[in-house]
Amino acid sequence: MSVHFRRRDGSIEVALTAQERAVLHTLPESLENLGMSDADPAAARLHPPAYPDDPAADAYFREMIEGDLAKARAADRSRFAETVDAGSMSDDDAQMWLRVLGDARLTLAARMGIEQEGWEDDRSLAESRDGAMLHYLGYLQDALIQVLSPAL
Amino acid sequence: MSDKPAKGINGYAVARLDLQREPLHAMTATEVLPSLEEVESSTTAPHRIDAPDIDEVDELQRPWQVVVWNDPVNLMSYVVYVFRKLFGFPEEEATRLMLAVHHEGRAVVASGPREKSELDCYRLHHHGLWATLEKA
Repeated sequence: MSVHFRRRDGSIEVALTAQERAVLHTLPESLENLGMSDADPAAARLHPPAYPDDPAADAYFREMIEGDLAKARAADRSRFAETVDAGSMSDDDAQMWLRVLGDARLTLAARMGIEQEGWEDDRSLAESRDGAMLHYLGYLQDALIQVLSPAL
Repeated sequence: MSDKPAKGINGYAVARLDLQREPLHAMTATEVLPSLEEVESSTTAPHRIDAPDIDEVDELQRPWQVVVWNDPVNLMSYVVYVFRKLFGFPEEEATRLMLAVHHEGRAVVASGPREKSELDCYRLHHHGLWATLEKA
């Protein structure tokens, strides 16, 4: 059982230190400035092509969904910022946390140039600031999944 | 009103219909064939309009598939959770699909009409999964 998250009655109790909460407070801003630019590997990772072999269909799909996707992610980020300091949260908020933690990991990994499996076993990577963050956010995400899954 | 189709996933099916990207087989005979008046008033002999052949109809009716690709960052537990949450799979089936993604590089997680598949793809992208669409 995770020390960070615990199911209690209808909600999920959150036990994070002040330092952990301070780190998590930096996530929404780090995700906020991601545009649709393919030049930024993180932006490209968060907007995969739906039709990789059909540029016209892909452009059409992008145009249709990009507004909704940006709006949904902005709503996730602002709700995340509101709940970082909370002592407990709803299942809906916890699911939103999974997405924000996941997006933050994908963004970080894309900018670190991680494209292959096996990075988890790289000790020097794990000791780097970004690598440690990648592991930590994954640990939190997994802990939350363990608490959420029985309710599915 | 803009003459561009309404943006947004919720208005998406409407936009598609407006653009007449619906399959041809949905048309009725009266839409395909000229009316009697058109035939009579025509100065040239009416030409026969062939019904699409069977292969073409099969091609148009083939459903779309939503494919999820392996990526080295998303946790296995997260991928299983998203499959269960979005598609309602039992844990065993979601785990089987996650392992197929992991070991084979990709797995088909849903299939159906184009509009539904695009919505599924959008939801997977919102959850950070690498999803694409292809004809079944």
